[in-house]
Amino acid sequence: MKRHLTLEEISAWFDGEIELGDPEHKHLRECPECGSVLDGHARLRRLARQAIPPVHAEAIWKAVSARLTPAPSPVVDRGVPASRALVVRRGAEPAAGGRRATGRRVRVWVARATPFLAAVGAVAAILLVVPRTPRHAPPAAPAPAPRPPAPVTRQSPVTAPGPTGSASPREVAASLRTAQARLGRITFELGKVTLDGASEPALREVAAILGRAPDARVVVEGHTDDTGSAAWNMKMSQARAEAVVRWLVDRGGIASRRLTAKGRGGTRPVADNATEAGQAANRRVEFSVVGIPETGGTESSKPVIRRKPAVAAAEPVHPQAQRRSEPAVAAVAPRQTYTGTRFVLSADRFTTSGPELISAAGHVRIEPVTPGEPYVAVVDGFSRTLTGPATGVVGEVVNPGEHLILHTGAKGTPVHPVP
Amino acid sequence: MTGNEETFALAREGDAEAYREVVLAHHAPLYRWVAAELLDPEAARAIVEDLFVRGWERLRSFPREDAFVAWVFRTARTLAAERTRARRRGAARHSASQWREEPFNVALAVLPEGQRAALVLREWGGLPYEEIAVRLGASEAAVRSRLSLAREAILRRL
Repeated sequence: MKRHLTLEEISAWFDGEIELGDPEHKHLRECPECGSVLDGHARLRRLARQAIPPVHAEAIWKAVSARLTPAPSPVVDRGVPASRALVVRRGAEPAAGGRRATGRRVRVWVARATPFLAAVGAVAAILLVVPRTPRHAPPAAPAPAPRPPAPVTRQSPVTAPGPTGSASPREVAASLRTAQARLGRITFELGKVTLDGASEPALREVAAILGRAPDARVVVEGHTDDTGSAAWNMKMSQARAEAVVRWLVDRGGIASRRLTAKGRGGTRPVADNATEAGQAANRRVEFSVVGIPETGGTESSKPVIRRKPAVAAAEPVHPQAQRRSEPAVAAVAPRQTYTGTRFVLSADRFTTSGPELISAAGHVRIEPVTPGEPYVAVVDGFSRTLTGPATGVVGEVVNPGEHLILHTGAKGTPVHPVP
Repeated sequence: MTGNEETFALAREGDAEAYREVVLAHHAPLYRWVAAELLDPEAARAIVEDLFVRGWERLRSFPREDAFVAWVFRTARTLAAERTRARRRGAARHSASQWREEPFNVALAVLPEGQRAALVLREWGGLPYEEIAVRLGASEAAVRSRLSLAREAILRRL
């Protein structure tokens, strides 16, 4: 039976004004009996619906989901324990259906019969990382006599000794290192960013250690292995690091300003991702204590971002830099005050005429790497790359918890001590 | 489309619930199209299920949802053609003779393939022209043209 429509209904259907006789709408014609509009397509649609039986959506999904054994992407890092995952690697037997494994793609076969079986997370060994000390200690000052340490008017919270009875950051680092074996793994619920109950003892231990050092600042870093997309890994690791920080703040009683969460994704592996053991080692949460006083020479596992040394010969050098050239540079040492053309540096203070860094005064630690090379420092747990007065003082946040790379002087010309 | 690239991205990462949404968004026009091609609902349903299982396996190779949808429909067309050839060789049985004799289906069956696909996706699937174009790998203008010809032809027969 044909359905009779009004022209308004038809116009609404086509989202515009329709005129009968329009060649674009030849299917519309006037009903000879009642004068309303007949829609030939409506008839077509009705006939089509009658002709082909519909299929129930859930029935299709039920049938499909029962066969969804090979996952499109590895989900090991989202919490699928290795025991529930069959990893097919390059050169391994092809997946079902004879399809070849492509490249380094990993296929995880998750039992679909148990999709809601929860938790047993992957993840996370607690590693202690302390900021790296300079690779090259500054030469033992052949030139001008070493300057006495500048009077420190304002102690950095991270380098200052804590209140009586509290542990220093270095002691915190040592405690965490000692406790590392006892801390166990921090695990998350399957595919989620929720900490599971088994992680509580480890987290309580961390909270207790941090509670004994109220001045220590810690960066909580989440890491994943290299399976899954980089974007997903980054997102997941960030969310999990934040979950750890939330626990430490809410339940561990640690001040939130002392904690920074940072997701590293799979960018910083500590083991070879080609093996399952390596992947497991790479899925981890690290606690990095920042602001440990520089003593020089000791190697740590924290990477230092460095820039190329300045090409002084090719660049215009500031007059002050010309006056105080190599010998002065060689005298660079931590905890000493230096004056550049526009700023003053010290172990515990950093002031500058550039607006970006004034707020950082008091929270900067300068670590000379090699004379003539950029300086490395930490600003409140935030890393900034700085360039000198030739281009203005510019701060750029790179990554929380990383080191500050300080380019001083004209296009990298080093800063020089105040006479 | 699910209209939500985030859902598709989650499905790509192995989230079965997200993939369920993708399947539910696309199964109906796909099924109807294959059903119209084969005039065999049972075979159409089997092909659709196969396609979504295969799609899941290779989901990560599709950067966006429209790429996935285009692949699904392209592959459906190939599988339907294979099935039709097998049927002609006698290697596959037609499971729905009664269905084939439906007057509308008879009229549909004689349409050129491109017109039939456009008509089914439009009248059954209710898809807009641009989405039909994505699925058929044709321009929107071509879709409009095919639709017009198909409607005329089928209404003439009925």
